[in-house]
Amino acid sequence: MTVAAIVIRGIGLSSNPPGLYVDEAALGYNAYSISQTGRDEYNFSLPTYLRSFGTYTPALVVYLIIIPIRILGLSVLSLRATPLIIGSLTVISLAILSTRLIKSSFPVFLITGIVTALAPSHILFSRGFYEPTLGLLLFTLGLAKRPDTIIGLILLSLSTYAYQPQRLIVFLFIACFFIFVRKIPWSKLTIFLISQLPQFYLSTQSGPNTRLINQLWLPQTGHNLLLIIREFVSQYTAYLSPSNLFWFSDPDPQRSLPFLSVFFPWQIIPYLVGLFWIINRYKHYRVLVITYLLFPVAAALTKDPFSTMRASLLFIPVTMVIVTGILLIIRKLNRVGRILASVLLLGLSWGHLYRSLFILLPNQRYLAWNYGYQQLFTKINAYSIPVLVDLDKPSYVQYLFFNKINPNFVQSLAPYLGRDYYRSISWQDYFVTSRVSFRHLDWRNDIYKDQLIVGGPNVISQSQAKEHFLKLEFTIPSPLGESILFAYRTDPAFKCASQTVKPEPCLLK
Amino acid sequence: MGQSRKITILLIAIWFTSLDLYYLNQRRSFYPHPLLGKIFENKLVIILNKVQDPIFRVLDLNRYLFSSHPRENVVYE
Repeated sequence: MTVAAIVIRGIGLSSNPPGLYVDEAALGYNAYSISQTGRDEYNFSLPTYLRSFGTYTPALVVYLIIIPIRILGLSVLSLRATPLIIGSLTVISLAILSTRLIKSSFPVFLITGIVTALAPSHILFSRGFYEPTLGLLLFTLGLAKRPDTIIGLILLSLSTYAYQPQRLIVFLFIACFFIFVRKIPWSKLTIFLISQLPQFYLSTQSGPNTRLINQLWLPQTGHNLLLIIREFVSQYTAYLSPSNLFWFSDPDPQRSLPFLSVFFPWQIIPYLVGLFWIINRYKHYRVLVITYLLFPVAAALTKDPFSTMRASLLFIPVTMVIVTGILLIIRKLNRVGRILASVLLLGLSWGHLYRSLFILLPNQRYLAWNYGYQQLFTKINAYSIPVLVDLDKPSYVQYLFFNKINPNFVQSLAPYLGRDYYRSISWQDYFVTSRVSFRHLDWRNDIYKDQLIVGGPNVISQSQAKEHFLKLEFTIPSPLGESILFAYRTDPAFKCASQTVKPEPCLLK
Repeated sequence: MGQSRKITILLIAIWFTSLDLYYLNQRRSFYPHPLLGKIFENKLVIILNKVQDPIFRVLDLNRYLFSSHPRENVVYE
């Protein structure tokens, strides 16, 4: 089971998902920086939240990424090895958890392992996502170890350092567990609260809260109570909707597989069977019911219509419900029926995965994964003239990653934040050298300097290139062969000569 | 369900627009072998998708309670 999970998650890991997303590059480069200097790109020692480009990502996973980067060097493979291991461990921990929550038997263990190992969203999250994957593992381990033990509570506490939404969910879960399941001794709760002291302190800082607050829909509804209730309930039910869980995927193309949602469409049948069974016997499944009802809460407070990342914890109870349904259906089948159903459904699931993960993802979603940046940033190194990079996302971090720029040099360019590290929420592209800069193209000045201008297809049109004497130096093709990134070289002498009224940059020369 | 409505649903399921066929051929070209393309991308797959799509839409509670909010503006694949 573990081997199958590792194989499915590991095939073509460095090239699929295609490219390297900006968030991945930020985590990877900061892990590299910490491994080399003990400090992140802003020269801040061992951060709890990574400021990065103003995102304040929980930094726990960065310390895990350091290990493969130390062994294999900074590369896409060494970066993605961490979620691969975390994801594969989650498969085992969920299988163990199912024997606690559903029934202590080998078939439960095995079926949960297979369902998790093949789950589309979990496979994707084990290939290119870090914080929710680690948060899910820690929470699963905490649940498996039982939330009324010290180790269980510490694991739950640690999960709040791994992923932001868990800062809310863990507290709600412990409160519900305390009220509805079992009293947790105050001595253990005190240890949990002590482990949360850094979080309490950081909650008073604007940085770690910014991203959380920016994502909330509450400021848009104002003080209208009816609107607030309507918005919350609609968002909440969207996360429990079978159509979203089994058919319509996360609207963000970077966070879903083509034509697949969180689970396979056929799994809706065991889901509904399992749900009906559990609702009728909710007293036997109290922890499962609490997790099922509680886990969408944090995600439901945010604006995105169906964010699989923020509701990543919901993966636990929904998997358990599906496994319960499969067990109930299997019970009704004879031996031949069981074998036939297993072969058919495993084949169907594998077919879905092969089509979506290995064929459609690299060929249809390459833009969402910032494909081509590696080739681009390697190629511009061949030019001795300055390079202006005009790309939508903060791509400087991908430049740092692919060129393994010396962290000491980056730290010398970054603004000194000191004690304001967790309060500096306004972010600006600081990485500007004599060789390369990252900002939008300024038509009034940039075309009069001898430089390379690099960007996507919308930065410079063909007519603009002709009008301003920009020469196409090279393009970066997509996996399908069409050009997705363009590099133009300016010709300031020709451009100035063509002007009857000389603009200021020409006169300055 | 009336007879004419059943026929309409059936026609929608088996009617392939030029866009359907364009995407079908495009997706086939992604496969390393043409046979694999024909196995995974064919008209039966399109029909199954068209049949499953309304079933899953019907199962969405938000469709009845909140006019499909919060996913009303999302363009599905």
